Formats: sequence, C-alpha cells, structure tokens
Amino acid sequence: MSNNEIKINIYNEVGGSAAVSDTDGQKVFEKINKALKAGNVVILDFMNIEMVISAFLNTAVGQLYKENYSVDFLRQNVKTLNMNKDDREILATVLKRAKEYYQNPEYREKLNEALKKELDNG
Amino acid sequence: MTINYQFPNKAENSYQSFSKLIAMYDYLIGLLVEDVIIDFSNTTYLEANLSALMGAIFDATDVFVSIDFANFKPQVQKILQKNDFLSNYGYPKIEDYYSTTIKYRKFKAADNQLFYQYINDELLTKHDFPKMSESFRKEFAKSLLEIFVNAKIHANCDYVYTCGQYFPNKKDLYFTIVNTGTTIKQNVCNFFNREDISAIQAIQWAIKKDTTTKQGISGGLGFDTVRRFIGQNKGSLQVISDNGYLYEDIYDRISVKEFNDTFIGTVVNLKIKMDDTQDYLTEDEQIDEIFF
Repeated sequence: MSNNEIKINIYNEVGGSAAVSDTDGQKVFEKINKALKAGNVVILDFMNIEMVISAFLNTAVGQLYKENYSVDFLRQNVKTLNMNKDDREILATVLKRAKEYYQNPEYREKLNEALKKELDNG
Repeated sequence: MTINYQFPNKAENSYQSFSKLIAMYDYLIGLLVEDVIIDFSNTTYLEANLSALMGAIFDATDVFVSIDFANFKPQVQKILQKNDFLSNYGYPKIEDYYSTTIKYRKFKAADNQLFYQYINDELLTKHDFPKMSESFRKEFAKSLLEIFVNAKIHANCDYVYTCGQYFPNKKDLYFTIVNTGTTIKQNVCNFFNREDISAIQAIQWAIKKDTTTKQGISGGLGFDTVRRFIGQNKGSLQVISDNGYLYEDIYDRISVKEFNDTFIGTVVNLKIKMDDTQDYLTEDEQIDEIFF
C-alpha cells in the first residue's frame, strides 16, 4: 500500500469551470475510489471552478459512503483545496444527506414510507 | 392537405396560456402526414420566454407533420426574431438593442458547460440588467444549472430547450427550461411501482427536499436549491409535467391544477426579481470541519 497524495484537478476532469453533471461526478468518484483503495490520500483541487452543484457532488463524493469507508478514514484521506465557502456548504449538505442515505438503510425506508403515506393522503 | 391552427391570442406566463399551448401540442401530436400552418393572425401579445415551450412542442410534433408559421403581427414577429427563435425556421435574426431577450436555445442534454457559458453570456453579465451582487448571480446560476442537469438525469432526454425574457418595467425576468423526456409522473410511478399517482401528486412529491427517483444514489437537493432561491428572491416557480401544473411563490405556498391535455415532458418556469439587492452569502458557519 502506498501512502502518496493524489491530486484530482476537478477543472480538468469536468472540462470547464462548472462542476455540475452526475456523469462527470461519476468519473471523479471512480478516480477517488481507486486512489483510496490503493492507499493514497486524495486532494480534490477546485482551482478555477466557478460553480458546483449537488448533482455533481452526489455522485463524486456522496457515493464514498456506499463503499464502507469509515468516517474517520474519509476525514483523514479525502481533502479539498481551493473550494470556496458557499460550495463547501453544498458539499456539507450533500455529505450529510449521503451519510443518512447509505449508512442508515432504515432512514431510507422510513423516508420512503413517509413519502408514500403523503402521496396516499395527498 | 394543409391545416390552419390558430395560435392563442395571448401567450403569457399563466396557467391559462400554458393550458392553450399544451392543447396545441395535443392537437398537433394527433395529426398524421399533414402540412400545418400555425396562424398567428390573432396573436397580439406573446411573452417570449415561452419560445422554449414552443420550440419543444414544434420539435416533438414535426415528425409526421410539416409546420410553418404565418400572419405574424409585427411586434410578435420582431420579438421572436430578436430572441433567435425564428432563425431556426429560416427567418433572419434581428439585433436586440435593448437587451431584454434571453436567446432561445436548444441544447444537447449533456452540454452543461455550454449551458453554463450561455447563462453567463445571456443572463449574468448583461449591462442592461439591474446590477447583481456576486452572491445573487451565483445562486441564480446554481438554480438554473440544477434544473438543466436534472433534465438529463431524470427525464433522460436528448435535448433541453431554454429561453428567457426580461420585463424592465416590473424588473421581472422569466426563464423557461423545457424537456420532452420522461415526465415527473412517470418517474414517480415507476419509483413506487404504482399507476395511481396523479401528475399533481408526483410534482408535489418531486419538489420536496430529500425526495429522489434515482435508484441507489443519494439526492433530492436540486429542486430545494431552486425553491429556496425563489423564496428568498420573492420570485415564483411554475412546474408543468404531464397534465399537472404547480405554482409556488413563497416557500411552501403552493397551488396546483390539472390541464385537460397532457404534455409529453416537463416545463420549469422561473420568475426572478432582478432588482434584488439582498446578500445571498452563506451564513458564517463552522463548516470547515464537517466534511465526512
């Protein structure tokens, strides 16, 4: 296992200054996941990125919770660079939601049940 | 045979006008090999952002019919030339000196970088618009991108149609995004494996925070981003999908209606108050340490 820092340049990955699509997010997720599995620390560099939305972050980083990494492990091994404050806020919201979704299947079921009920009553 | 179809007298950002445009779609899609003249002789007023819906309708229906336009009133033809809608049908473009139009465009659904470029050029850097703060500009762009990207994710469509119009007197800007892919009703019915969910119920469900019909992946934040922005801006949101119509101005103040006819896709129409001087900056929270 190596323990290098791998920098992923988001601008290069998405081909522009808007990190918005789920398809680009999937590409980034696969890179992060591969690097983590090889024992590396991943730096997500948002240099020159003007716009980030939840659709991109859901797939790019939200999915990391699907992979059975511990929260401590992710904290130590995935870092962001050059990400501005309001984009960090979206990231925080996406990660909170992803954590509930992937790590708490009961939450998912409860949410779906509640929404189903709402549909039936609505 | 040539059929004459009378375009509505007025086309506004209202339930009534959407209803008439969807009735036009329903009529045209039912025709077999015909030449159709869309007759604008009675149309005296047209809010030009609706070009996005018109473009989607004419694209979806001209598979079997050939569509042509006739008898424009000068003011209607002029605005549709200024916003580049008619240049798609062989009419020359006209310069928009007052910069009130946001050009009509048909994007490939995957062209999100091009769409971002377009909203930057057309919306966010126009000199004739009220001065926008950087935070307002960003929240606005984010909302439009969420809608655009979600058209591909959820509607699985090939193209997304967009257009806008700025009304300087009221300082209102309407921006319309249309796709002709899987409707919200179809997605929600598939998700719950049920057939008895109405279009209105499905739209109401879909705009709620944390709901998503994506399988196996977290989501449900896109529409909420848009709704929070619209709520703070005191604008409005209209969503049309299948035969359902939803209108929201203040967050969670929602009214819904059904149309008599059914639209093949989804329309998201935003009204934005452009004289908004509020600061949309993130509150000073401790977010540095909460990743993962």
